Amino acid sequence: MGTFLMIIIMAVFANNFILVQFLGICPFLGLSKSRANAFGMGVAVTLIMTITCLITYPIYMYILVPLKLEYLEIIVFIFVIAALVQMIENIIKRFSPALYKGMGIYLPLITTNCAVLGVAELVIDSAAMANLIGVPQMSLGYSVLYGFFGGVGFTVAIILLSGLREKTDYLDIPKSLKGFPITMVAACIMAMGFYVFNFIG
Amino acid sequence: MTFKEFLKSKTFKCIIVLTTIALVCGGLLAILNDVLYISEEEKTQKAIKKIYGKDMEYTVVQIDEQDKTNKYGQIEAIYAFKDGNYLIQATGIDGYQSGTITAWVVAEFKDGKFNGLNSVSEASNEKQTLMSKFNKDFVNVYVNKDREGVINGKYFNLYDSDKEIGNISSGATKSTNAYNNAVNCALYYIREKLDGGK
Amino acid sequence: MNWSKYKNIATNGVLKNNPIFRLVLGTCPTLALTGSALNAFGMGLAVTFILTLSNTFISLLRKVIPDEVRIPAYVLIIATLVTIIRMLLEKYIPVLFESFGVYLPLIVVNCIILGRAEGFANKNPIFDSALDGFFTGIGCTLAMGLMGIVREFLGAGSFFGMQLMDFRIEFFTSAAGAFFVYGMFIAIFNAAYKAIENKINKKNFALHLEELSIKENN
Repeated sequence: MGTFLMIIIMAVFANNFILVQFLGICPFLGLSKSRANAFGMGVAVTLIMTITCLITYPIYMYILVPLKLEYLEIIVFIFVIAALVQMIENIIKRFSPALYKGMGIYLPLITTNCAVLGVAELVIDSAAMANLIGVPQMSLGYSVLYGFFGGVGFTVAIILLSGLREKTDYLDIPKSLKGFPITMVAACIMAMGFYVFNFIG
Repeated sequence: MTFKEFLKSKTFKCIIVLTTIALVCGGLLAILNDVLYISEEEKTQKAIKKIYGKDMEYTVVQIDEQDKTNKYGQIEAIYAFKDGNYLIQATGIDGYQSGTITAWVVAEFKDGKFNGLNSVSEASNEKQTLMSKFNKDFVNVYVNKDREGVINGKYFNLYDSDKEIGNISSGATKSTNAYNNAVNCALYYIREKLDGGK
Repeated sequence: MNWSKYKNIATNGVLKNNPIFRLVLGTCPTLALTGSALNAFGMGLAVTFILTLSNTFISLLRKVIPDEVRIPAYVLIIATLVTIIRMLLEKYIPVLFESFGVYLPLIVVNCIILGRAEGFANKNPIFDSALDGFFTGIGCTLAMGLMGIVREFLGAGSFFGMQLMDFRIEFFTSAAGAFFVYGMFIAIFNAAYKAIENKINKKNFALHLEELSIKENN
């Protein structure tokens, strides 16, 4: 239970993928204009991040490492992610057209999302990861949990920012600050808030 | 579709091109991986340079089986430097949740006699979740050039007696214990085996 | 020689379409690694290296690769280049390798590189593509380096690791400071760029009027 809580705190708050680790900034800036978009993207990313961890971790640990093919890791991971995204898109399209309407348009964007490849690369660094969440050894279960809650952290951050942006669009500010700069400042203030979680644990 | 038609089709061309690129890339990486392979020795050399602060020729000291463990923990490796100093990697037991801490200890020797501790740094740990509470000051408590004090066990009972250390790492007393044990483990070996040219 | 074309490619990459400040692409490494000037420049140069080579190879193979599988083929080429630079850094510059950490493999999904492959290299000859990749990379390096210098100076009082002043405003090296400094840089760069553009436009307009009046007089 303690470990479970630790993973939640670490992945969602203290090491938030967007605001602390800077992974997945492109959709964070691009899709945070409306709350509905932000939520759709968040759910899609969480789904893919969880399944990515479930697949890449065993591939690396039980195939690449024993065969001494660690150097192929980047190529293998990016293709696993691309294939996975394509597959999920087809499955959702087939079985739930309503869901596809909701999040289908975000799926193709996820292949080039830093957060997904980032989480795959992070969980295979076993020593650092085990240290972070305070377990003796990394396992498939922990890495999937970390992937899932990392995605939750992503969703929380992007939804919070979309709420802020709905307000900042109507602010009376200099023209050169409009758009990206004011969004960055909003993100800066959010990051300060998340900084507090570093003192937990 | 016959086989011949397939050979002329676009699908076939796509497959061929992709496979060729994949094979060329894979082959290139395999060759480069061999050329740029970093051996264990090189890794040790780099680690030592980081801990010791400069490049130094070293020899690996063989440890007798019965000297490998003592009541504080376990000696992992010992490197003897050309300038007479020793680098000891030791694991201390009895940390938080019965975990351990492995530390690098640089021991300074003068004319074959132990002279004090030059530096102590963490190599790795098991189950010690509060390592972030340790700061540089904490480790510097061990750095000491007072030969008599160190050799006669200045740190042997720090966990119980010395408030100095308890204050610096408040909230992580169990991990402090493991750190002490790691340093003491190295000191024990120095006293028994290395000091005075034994 | 077609100098005006090359000049155009260069100004496009460095100023007009500066990937960091104008297009706001490749934001992840920009935010994460500009806490120190050395890391920022190192990352910029790594991106430049990969961008130049990936543009070259993709332009070289642009007639061979069928349209349907171009994206997987590009990703394959880029991932190979990233793996190569990762091996090189681990062997020869371990300091940078360690401080890049997870952001090194993430160059693969950096939008700038795939963007230039799609937008330029697959339609243009080899030399132009290489040049475009190089100058886009230089634009990246300059932007990231500038941010790195500013953040490191304000946050740690040092310049490329050399201690200059005895003050530190830790906000600037923290995560929050990264967002703030980046936002300010985008604002300033765009304001300056617009001002210069306006000036040039006005000048051109004045020249244009002059020409017209000369024609009318004749």
